[in-house]
Amino acid sequence: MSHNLTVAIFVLMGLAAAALEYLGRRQDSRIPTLSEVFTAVMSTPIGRASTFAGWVWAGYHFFAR
Amino acid sequence: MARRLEPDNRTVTVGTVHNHLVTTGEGTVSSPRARRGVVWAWVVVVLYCWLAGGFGSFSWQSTAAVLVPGLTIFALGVARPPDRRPRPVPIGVTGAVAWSVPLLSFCVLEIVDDLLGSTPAHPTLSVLMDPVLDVHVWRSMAYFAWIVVGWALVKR
Repeated sequence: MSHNLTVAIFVLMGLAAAALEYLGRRQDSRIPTLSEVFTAVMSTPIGRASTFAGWVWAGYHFFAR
Repeated sequence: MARRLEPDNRTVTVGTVHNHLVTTGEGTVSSPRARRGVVWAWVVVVLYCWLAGGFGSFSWQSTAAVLVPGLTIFALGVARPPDRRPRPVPIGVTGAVAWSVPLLSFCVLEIVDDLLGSTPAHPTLSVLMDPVLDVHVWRSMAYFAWIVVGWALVKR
């Protein structure tokens, strides 16, 4: 049950992200695309370093551990 | 200076060369030598990914195979941001809240599942991906995708 619930939540989050990306690509949307979010986050030194740290963590999480 | 040979054998100056990049009135293009360098660099990356994809998790080889490109790209991205970065668009409160929900939910779920032992009953995303990432070719392709994303962040 927990396994199925966890998988369902992961799928739901993926669908939510896809829906936001779709909404963000519409004209005059108040929702930014994921690319615009990353551009905004990476415009500050701390945001830039955090983004790269997250990327390194993802590689370590999936491939090394 | 960069020159171009016209059909009537005249040589005309089309722009300036800096770091193998030709700047013309129509923009910046790579020289053939630079393009060859880029192709060879990506060939090396593909071979590296194939090699790294053969290392199993929880080995020093897999740790090194992640940390070497990971820390290199991290250092490049943080220490040397590109000169021409895209101008950030104001994302607003609505946008920030909208994207925070799936992103923070993902982080919370990963942390909770990890604290619960990352077992089949409470799997983190990496546990769910294990059946796929246990296959060499898929693991290498995922590795390649990870490096491509890292390089795209460096150029952003």
